Amino acid sequence: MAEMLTLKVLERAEKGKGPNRRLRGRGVVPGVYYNYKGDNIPVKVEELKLTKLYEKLGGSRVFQLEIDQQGQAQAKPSLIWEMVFDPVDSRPLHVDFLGVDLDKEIKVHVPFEVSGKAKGLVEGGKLEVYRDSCEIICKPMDIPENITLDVSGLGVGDSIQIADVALPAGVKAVFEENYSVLGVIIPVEAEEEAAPGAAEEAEAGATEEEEA
Amino acid sequence: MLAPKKLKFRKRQKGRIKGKAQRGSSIAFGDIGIKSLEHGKLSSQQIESARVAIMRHIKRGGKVWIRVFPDVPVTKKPAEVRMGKGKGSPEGWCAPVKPGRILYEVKGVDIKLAKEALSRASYKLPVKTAIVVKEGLS
Repeated sequence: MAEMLTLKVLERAEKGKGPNRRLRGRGVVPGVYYNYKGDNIPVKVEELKLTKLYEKLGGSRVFQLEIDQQGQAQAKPSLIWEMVFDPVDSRPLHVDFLGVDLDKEIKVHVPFEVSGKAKGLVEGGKLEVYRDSCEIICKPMDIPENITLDVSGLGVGDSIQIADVALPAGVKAVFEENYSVLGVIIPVEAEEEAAPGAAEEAEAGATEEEEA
Repeated sequence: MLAPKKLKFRKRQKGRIKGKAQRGSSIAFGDIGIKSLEHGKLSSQQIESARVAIMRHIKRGGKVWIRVFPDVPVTKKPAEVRMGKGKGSPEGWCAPVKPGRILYEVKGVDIKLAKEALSRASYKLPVKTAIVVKEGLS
């Protein structure tokens, strides 16, 4: 992995509903930093910087979190562990930073990326993606941006199982039972769904005519 | 149209819809959805009408999820009746929604087509809406 990005945050003295609402009004997002050693530091971060970092890294890439504590800055390798968004305007309301030990393995969810065009699509099949992401276990610096699934060899009725997915070195998928990630299926359901829809359309047409 | 199979009480008080939606405010099943930006009550007719608008536009293929259910009875007094003499009789069902609530989700069709379909559905609804796309999709 290339050099890590840095996010500067300040230690937060304000606690509670009112002070945190005032912070959000000024474009600052309250958050918390914690790690497995038991450290727990309330922090605040500028909304714009946080949003840009989240767009670039998402929740599964390590960056340096620089916490300014009384004028002394400490850089800690971290992950954005959880972001709470406003239900209406999708602005961040709160953020959790998880401090990671670069030598210890952690479990994270990484998204899949589909590449290539399946053979089965030409034969009339449909690509059905069952899972968008999978849980992996690896050291923080080995976390891949995404896991690429090559579907070019898939015919109709074929699928890719999680156990068959090629993962980078040092990365293992976490699963109890082997499951399908995606497959090329025969689109039978579409025809079945179209029939009641058509019937409803006919009914709707009939009612419209009656009203007229 | 959607309606509960059984009910405990025939009539219910109107109440007020306050606050933002905490549950059902993120896309859970599909790739793209439509979100309410206001609070309001969607009647079962409006929910069905918007669904039909989506289904007609996407034609075949794809899947649609309706994320609200009209489980609140609505009453109405007959025409030309004086006030009083008790509450009116049940006339239909509605689903109270808060701002931020996801109303419909679509998966398995082109994003552009899905956006058009959801846009058509929004005209059938009594609340302001916005189209939202699942994180990671453009």
